Amino acid sequence: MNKTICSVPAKIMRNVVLLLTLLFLTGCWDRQELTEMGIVTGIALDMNKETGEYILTSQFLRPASQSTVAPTPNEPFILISATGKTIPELMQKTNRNVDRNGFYPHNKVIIMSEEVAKSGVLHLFENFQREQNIRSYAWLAVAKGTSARSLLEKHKTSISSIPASFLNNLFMDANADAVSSNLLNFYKKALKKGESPVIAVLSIDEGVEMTPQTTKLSGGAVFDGDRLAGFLNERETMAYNWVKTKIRNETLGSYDFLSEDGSIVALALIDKNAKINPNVSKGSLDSFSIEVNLLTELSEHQPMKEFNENADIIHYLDNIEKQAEKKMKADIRHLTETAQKELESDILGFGDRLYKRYPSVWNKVKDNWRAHFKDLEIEVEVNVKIKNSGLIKGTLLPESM
Amino acid sequence: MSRKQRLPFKRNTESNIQDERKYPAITNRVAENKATLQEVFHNSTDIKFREFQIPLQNVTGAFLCYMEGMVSEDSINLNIMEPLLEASQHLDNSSDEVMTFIKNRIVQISDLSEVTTTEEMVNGIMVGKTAVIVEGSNKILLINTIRYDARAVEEPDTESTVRGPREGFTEVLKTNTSLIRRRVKNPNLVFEDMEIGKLTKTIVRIGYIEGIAKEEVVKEVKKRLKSIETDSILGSGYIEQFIEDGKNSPFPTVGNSEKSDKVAAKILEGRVAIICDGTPFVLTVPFLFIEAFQVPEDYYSKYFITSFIRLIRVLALFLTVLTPALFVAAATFHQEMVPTLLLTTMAAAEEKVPFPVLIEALLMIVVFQLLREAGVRMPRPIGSAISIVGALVIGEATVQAGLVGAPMVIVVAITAITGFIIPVLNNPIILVRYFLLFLAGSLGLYGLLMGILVVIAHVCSLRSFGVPYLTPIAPVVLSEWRDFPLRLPIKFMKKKPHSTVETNKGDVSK
Repeated sequence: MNKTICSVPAKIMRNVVLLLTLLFLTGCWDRQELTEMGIVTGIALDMNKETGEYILTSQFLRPASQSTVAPTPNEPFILISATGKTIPELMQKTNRNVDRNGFYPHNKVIIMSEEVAKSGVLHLFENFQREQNIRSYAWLAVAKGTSARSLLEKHKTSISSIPASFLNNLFMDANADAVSSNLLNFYKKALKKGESPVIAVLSIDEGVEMTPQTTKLSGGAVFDGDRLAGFLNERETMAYNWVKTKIRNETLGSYDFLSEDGSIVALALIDKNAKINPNVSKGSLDSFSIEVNLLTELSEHQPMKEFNENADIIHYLDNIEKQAEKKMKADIRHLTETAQKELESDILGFGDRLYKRYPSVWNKVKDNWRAHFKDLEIEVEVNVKIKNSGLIKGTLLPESM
Repeated sequence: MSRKQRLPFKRNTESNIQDERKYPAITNRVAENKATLQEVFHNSTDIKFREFQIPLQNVTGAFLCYMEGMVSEDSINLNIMEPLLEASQHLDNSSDEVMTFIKNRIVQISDLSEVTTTEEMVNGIMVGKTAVIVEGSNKILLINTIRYDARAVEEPDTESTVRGPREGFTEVLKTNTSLIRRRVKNPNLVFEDMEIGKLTKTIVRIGYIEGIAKEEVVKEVKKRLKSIETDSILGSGYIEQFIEDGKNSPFPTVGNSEKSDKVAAKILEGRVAIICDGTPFVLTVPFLFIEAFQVPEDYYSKYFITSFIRLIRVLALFLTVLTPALFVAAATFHQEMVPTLLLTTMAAAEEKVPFPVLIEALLMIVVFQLLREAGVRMPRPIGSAISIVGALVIGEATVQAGLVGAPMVIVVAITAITGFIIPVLNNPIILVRYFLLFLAGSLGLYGLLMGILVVIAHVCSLRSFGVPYLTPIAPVVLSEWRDFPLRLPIKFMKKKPHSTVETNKGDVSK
């Protein structure tokens, strides 16, 4: 009767067993349970000035204190620092100091101190590309006037409880006076010959009476290759953004200037379009021309007068457009001069434009581009258009008695 | 050798039933015939004999035989007994043989027949006919007095509609046939009977519209029905399992419905209906995958909402099959894919749970399956008690007890709710869900994808009575996409789907 007990043919049975072996004996090689990993949301790179070693500070999340059911009273994050020479070494040392394995794909920001930035950074980021453990969309910033680690501490003006998400939001809402750049942008420009990267700058304002200590994202850090060369102030950064940055967040911020009659005009920038063109004649480079077209809205002006006819309004707006053009032109010219003389970095990417438009001309100059760049002749043209003046007739005036 | 042995239930079909050919032949002696019947029915108590005498020229002995409960006794009394006992009044022309005389002049029932073999007589009595046996005649009169108690035509529980006809099939073949015939008043609607089941002798009736149904499908259905060799057919489910194409597939390739309007619609689309006596579920073939998403109500309401709901059903299918697998894959292999905030809350929920996510998912799904099974088998009042316990068990309590994380409860809830949306595919859904869950738990999204490919390949390989199962999706029949995944306005629905309709002949509906 033995035969009837197992009615499944032996051959099928054998195949089934083999298939099951495949499933159960091989294991789940990169399986990682949520309770085994520590989610890292931000990292900071500092440098020990005496030994020249790097200090990596990682911000680990404490999920239990973020629980929707019964949050624990702990701080929702902890900072773990480790000292070492390479990124893999630092990450391993970090794992030694904390009871979870660092999980980096959710990292939002990479902050480096000025010292680290000055000593060159590409060799550090190489590991991120090789292991693909940090996304190229992580924001990249230089800490100005403070240590990188201090920026991962809790911020006084933060609404979200995790510093990394506070910083993330700063970058997302960055205005025209700040550069917000991610790792990928940095790679792209740093690895190219004809353009130097400009990345974000984070700093801490100590604050006075009314305004307490704040963390600020403004200005730009100019790199020469992968080494920090200097900083742009807010006015220069704005000019940089007009020429280089793609429009983001609906507005590019607002621009205000003193008009001829001494009143202040504020323009909201709503759209822009900029071109850099190399002018080449007979196979040699003459000059570059920058053309910036800005679409704006008049958001504030205090001229204290009323218009009675439409022609007056048009004339008035034309006048403001002309003045704005002049001011902006001066700003951009100032930026190019700073870049050429002071920073000696091709931040606007003239070399890259030349390479794309006239590769043969570029090939002639590329070897001593640095020297060429210093003495480049640059023409700037700005066109400002006021699209909307808020539909009020003149300005708001108090009725005189 | 032993490998060639067939499945065990086939072996049991050999029964020790008395061979029908051994029945004694009918004689012209009343007493002998009665003895024969008593022997055939083993003196069963529900067989009734009524002996009497017919007052013709020479008083003749006779008896009636019928099966209690299967006949209308009123009808026997009024239309057979009474005229027979008063037969002498008709005694003007006595040249005929007694039997012919009774048949022609006395019995007041339209449906009757003369039989000459014991076998026919016995079979007739068993379905509720009344046999009249008269002394001196080799013929036996079988009179149709069939009447038995049956459920009224009600709204079916399994497929309730808000709008549209509510008549559902009953257990009675005749009623079911009439429900279809009433909807399709066309002489081309043909019904054909056959008897299946050596012991139960169940009548199975196929219905189709000549000229619309594909000839080869009709032939195939008949062939497969005829080849069924079994002792008993107690429901259309038996037949389904005998005639279906993918016998080793969890996917249904034979449709069934309790709603008469739905079956009528299927017949009009060229399908063949198989009605089995004793079951309210009528089978329709060929059955295509997309039919699982079509509900009669879709055609009774406007197309906007219907189309939207169709899409929701497709979504539900994917959700109910994939949700647990996707969750497990994302939580154990692909944490980088989950938005940071969600990952944080997921991790927070897992913090106090001792099991791996895969075990958690299995635990919850099995508990849900148990609760569901308990609820279905229990009588209604107890069933509701179970659902309360169930709500507590898979709700708050498991989370608070630290057995599973809160997101897992949502995952199981989504899986469960969406699982009820396509009841037709219930069986394959459950199997595929577990299959994919294991793959996702061991190989992550890679395994999940492989699993999905295997399932799709399997479904593509199926056919239902010659029609590819995934028509019109694979092979693509664009003209039939008017009814899936969207339902286009009714003006586009005039034509019949041509994967199920006979195309050689002219369309009889024109």
